[in-house]
Amino acid sequence: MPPSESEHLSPTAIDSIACGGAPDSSTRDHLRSCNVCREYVQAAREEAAYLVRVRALASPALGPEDAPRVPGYRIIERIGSGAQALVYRAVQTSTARTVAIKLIRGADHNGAGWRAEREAEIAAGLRHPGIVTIFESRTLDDGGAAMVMEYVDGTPIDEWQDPSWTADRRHAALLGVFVRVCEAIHHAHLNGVIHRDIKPDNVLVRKDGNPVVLDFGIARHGDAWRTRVGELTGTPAYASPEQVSGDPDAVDALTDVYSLGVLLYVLLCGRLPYQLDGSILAMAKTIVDTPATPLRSADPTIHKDLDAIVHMALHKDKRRRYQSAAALGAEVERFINKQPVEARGDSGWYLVQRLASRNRRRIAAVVVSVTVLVTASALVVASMADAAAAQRRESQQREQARLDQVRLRAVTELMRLTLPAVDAAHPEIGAAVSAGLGRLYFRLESGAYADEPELDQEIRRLWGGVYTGLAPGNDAKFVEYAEDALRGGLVRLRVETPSGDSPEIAEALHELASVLLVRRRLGEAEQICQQAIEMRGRILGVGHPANAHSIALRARILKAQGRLADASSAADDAITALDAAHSTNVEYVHGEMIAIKAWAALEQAGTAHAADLVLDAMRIRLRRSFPDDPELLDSLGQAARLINTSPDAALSKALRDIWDSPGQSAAVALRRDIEFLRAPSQSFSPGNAPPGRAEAIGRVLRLQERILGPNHPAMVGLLMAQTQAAWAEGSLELRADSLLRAADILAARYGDSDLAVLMCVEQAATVDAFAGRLDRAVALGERADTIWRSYPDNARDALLAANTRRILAWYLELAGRHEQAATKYASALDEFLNLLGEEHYLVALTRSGLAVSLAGTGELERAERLSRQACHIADQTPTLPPDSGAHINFARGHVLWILGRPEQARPRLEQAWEGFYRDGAGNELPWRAVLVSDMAGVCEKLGDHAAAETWRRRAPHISPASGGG
Amino acid sequence: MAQSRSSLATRTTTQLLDALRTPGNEPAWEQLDARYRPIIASLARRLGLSASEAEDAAQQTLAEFVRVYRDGRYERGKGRLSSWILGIARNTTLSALRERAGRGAAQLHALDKAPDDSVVRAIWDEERDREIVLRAVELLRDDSSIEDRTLRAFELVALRGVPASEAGAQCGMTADQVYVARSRMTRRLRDRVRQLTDAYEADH
Ligand SMILES: [Zn+2]
Repeated sequence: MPPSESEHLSPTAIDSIACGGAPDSSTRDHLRSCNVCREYVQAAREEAAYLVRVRALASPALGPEDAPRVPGYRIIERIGSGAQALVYRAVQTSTARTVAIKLIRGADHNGAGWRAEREAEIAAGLRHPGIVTIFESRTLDDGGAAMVMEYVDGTPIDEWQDPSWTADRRHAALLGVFVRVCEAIHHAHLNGVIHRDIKPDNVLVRKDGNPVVLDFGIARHGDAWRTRVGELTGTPAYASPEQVSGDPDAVDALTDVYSLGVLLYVLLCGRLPYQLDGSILAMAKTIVDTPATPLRSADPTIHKDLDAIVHMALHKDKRRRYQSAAALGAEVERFINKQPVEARGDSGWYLVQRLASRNRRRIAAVVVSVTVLVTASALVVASMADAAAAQRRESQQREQARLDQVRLRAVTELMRLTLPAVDAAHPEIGAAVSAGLGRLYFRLESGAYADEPELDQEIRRLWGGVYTGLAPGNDAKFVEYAEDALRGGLVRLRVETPSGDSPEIAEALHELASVLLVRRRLGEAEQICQQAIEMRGRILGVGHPANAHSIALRARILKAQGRLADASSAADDAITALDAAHSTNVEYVHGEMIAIKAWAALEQAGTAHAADLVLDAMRIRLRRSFPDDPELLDSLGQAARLINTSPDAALSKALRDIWDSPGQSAAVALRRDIEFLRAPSQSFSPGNAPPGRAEAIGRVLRLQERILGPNHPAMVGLLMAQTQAAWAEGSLELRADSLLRAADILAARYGDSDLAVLMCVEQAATVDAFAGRLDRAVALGERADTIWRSYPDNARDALLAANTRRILAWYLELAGRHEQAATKYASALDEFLNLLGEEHYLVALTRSGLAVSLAGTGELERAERLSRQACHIADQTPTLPPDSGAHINFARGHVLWILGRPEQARPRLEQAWEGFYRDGAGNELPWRAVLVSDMAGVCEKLGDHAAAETWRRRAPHISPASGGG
Repeated sequence: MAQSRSSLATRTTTQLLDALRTPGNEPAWEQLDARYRPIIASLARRLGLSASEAEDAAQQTLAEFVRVYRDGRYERGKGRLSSWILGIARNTTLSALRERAGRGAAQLHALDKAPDDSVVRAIWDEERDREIVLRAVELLRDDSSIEDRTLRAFELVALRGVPASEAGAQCGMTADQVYVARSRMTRRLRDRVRQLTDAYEADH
């Protein structure tokens, strides 16, 4: 600590000198004569340097200065502020999970803690992908409260935009998202929660295009724009007439429907439905009295159906609005699907609602209990909450089960895609999964879930589903268990359901039929499937999506029986049902049904429309991104057959263009490719891959391009597979080419500076460097460097960016452009020094590179010093990766050799060789030429001619232009 | 070694691993988890995963480590614990990226080699150092023997780069006092950082 005696310099003066400030003459005199103060200056310098590094590390995670302290969380930044709350982005230290923390100020709001907890409790019950998830709430020391919730990385819905969109495209996307917002709000209503503050800031759209509604129940205890004394503040732009007229009892789910109407209005034309200005009271009056300006007078291009929908949602009389958010959503969906909308029919809907309202309580109770089963719009409103409490709990459980089911379906899909592939290389993974499922099965059978019948049933069904999702032949024993589990579940269900019909039974039947299909007990499967179809038809209606899936299953079973004509007509039924159900994500089922029809048509040779069907199925299945996808292969198999049966079809011609080769017909060549592709790609690595797979994928890519059009995004998946195959086959040029093609497609879609583009470009550059195509490697390295520079500072990963520059320098050096290489190396070195400190081996590695370049430009003194420093650090780093060590040794040896010190150079170069080529692989090929020529020179100089000759024979076949050698 | 409630935090990894041999030693697992999870998640993010994918990757990595450890496949003689975990983290992240590439998603790397190991290791080191500094700062914040305004002045001037005179004005101190506080607190911070670094790295 600096001295306090007045004859010494003050801490302020010492710091100023330590930071490079010019001392005045008396200070200078004192320093000259005072050891104590000189030492303090030195210490202050060191302290400042230490703190620079601390600051660099800590600042991104330090959070704002006034951030509250919430134990267990690290506040990163403030992301929002409102009248009652501040919102921060934070990280939970124990889980590393990014969360949002909403801080409700305590001092001036009594009971904030209680309110937050209540809020959290309400909102935590709302488990829905479109509703933000609440993790916990806490009361803080100062009486405020913190609510911890899922961090949603998204854009407010009114700002959601993609640069590549046309106005029409954006319009369509917004409508689709709006439908999902309605569904989320409806889910909340079914759980007795009214949002009350729907506005664009509370509806975020994630990067994947899914909306998330925030701030549920926040406004429940006093609307956000209303203070506690009942006065209005702020702008109630999205509020309903009943909200602003101040009657809290009049606020119910239909209030949210109104706000959704305003939101839709704003999304469609960019302005509010009426002009709000003046005092709050004047605004309230406008909202109550002024009808919305017709959308089409704001924007005449808007479809009149939309105008009608918005008009109905914005009815001042809430009885004449849509009677649920789901009804509004369904209406917009009908518009999207170009069906007639209800709002434009006469008032039939209104009359039904009127009628219903008389018996509302009773209807509500019934509808709540079946509402998750039938996706029809519900008439439920939150004011019915008490009466419907029991049913609601039940519906919540069902909803939860449904969500779990979706999750498990995803697992099934994942396993279906991965397990057959993983099996070959890693049988232990398959075994572990089987064992886990086995345990679950025994738990089921030992009654572990008996007191939770819902869960028991769900697990049985899902468990069966997981197994039927897997390819046949996986593990016969477990498929057998699946059947037992489902049958056991069915017996119990039937006991509980005297009438004999229930959605659960229907689903269990469906799953059982799937299991029987896997077990190839086809007659039984068909029979059970038929029961499922009939039961679903009775309960859910023929048009329900679940029914469509059962009909599709029947088509599959019939096809497996070889009854192609029957299968084809079942497939027709399934397609009709799928179309009627308007469900999303059924494209692949659709593809499969068309494929079944195509097989039937192919069977009757000469059927004219076989070619069309094969093409239709192909068009869907070419969107799959794995070349070994069984459905894609199925379609390719159809194509191989089509070439012979309908040689004149356009598709056959296209196939011949691609697959015809001298001495082999296209059909034979295509069949051979299918066999090639069937082998899972993961089991190949360099050295054991049969050549030809990469080219086979290339032919499928050509087909993809021909059918889906150029640069279709689906091609990226196959290009990546081709990259892998080319790697396994050692075909560098093809590998670089497919990476660059993928980069182009991605750049066209996501912009040139997308990280994915960057990764492809960098990898292609590395491949080129290894292949000796140095000019292109340099050009690509520069492209990558430019991409990083286009990022704003706070979005750029400085370490990765510096590494890109280091690698660019390496390409430049390999290309013999020493001076440019030195400049890039120096800039990367500066950056690494800042980020990692003096002692990191990446700094050493960069110094080594710079040393090699400087040896090329003739700055030998600097080169000597840098390569020595690098070795010094490397020798002290036990965790040094071997190839980094080899680089550092190479640089040192190279510089020493140029300095004319062969006996010192020799051991370094030998170690470098050992590090690079120990395993005999041609790794680090680019340095090889220089290394070998250096060593030959060294040995020659030392008089060891035999060794020199040995080294010369190690020269690579590819000899890139390179410096120093 | 510091006793008190932070004793686990500064226990060396070797000691933690020994503690793990005691069946049911949950605190030791939790400590190991808390120590490495943020580093793994940050690493995964910087290699291109989204926040939630990175969280999953951290979870998978730790679960895999637990498996490896319980099966007795972890041999202390073969390199450091951190290298071991880093290896698992890297593979987990890369396979997540590959899976995504397979789906043709926007962010994609079809990585079989890149980014090179040296950079992965460097990111790991940087994130570990960051974690240590942040934990050291948190330990200072939790230290009741430090006066509030001293801590605040230190945070402003040392961590946020606010000039001493300005920080002094905010905390009711003279600039000289701020410099004195900074030196004292920097020394404490360094001690904490050193202790934590030993704890993280003393595991040969
Ligand atoms: Zn002095």
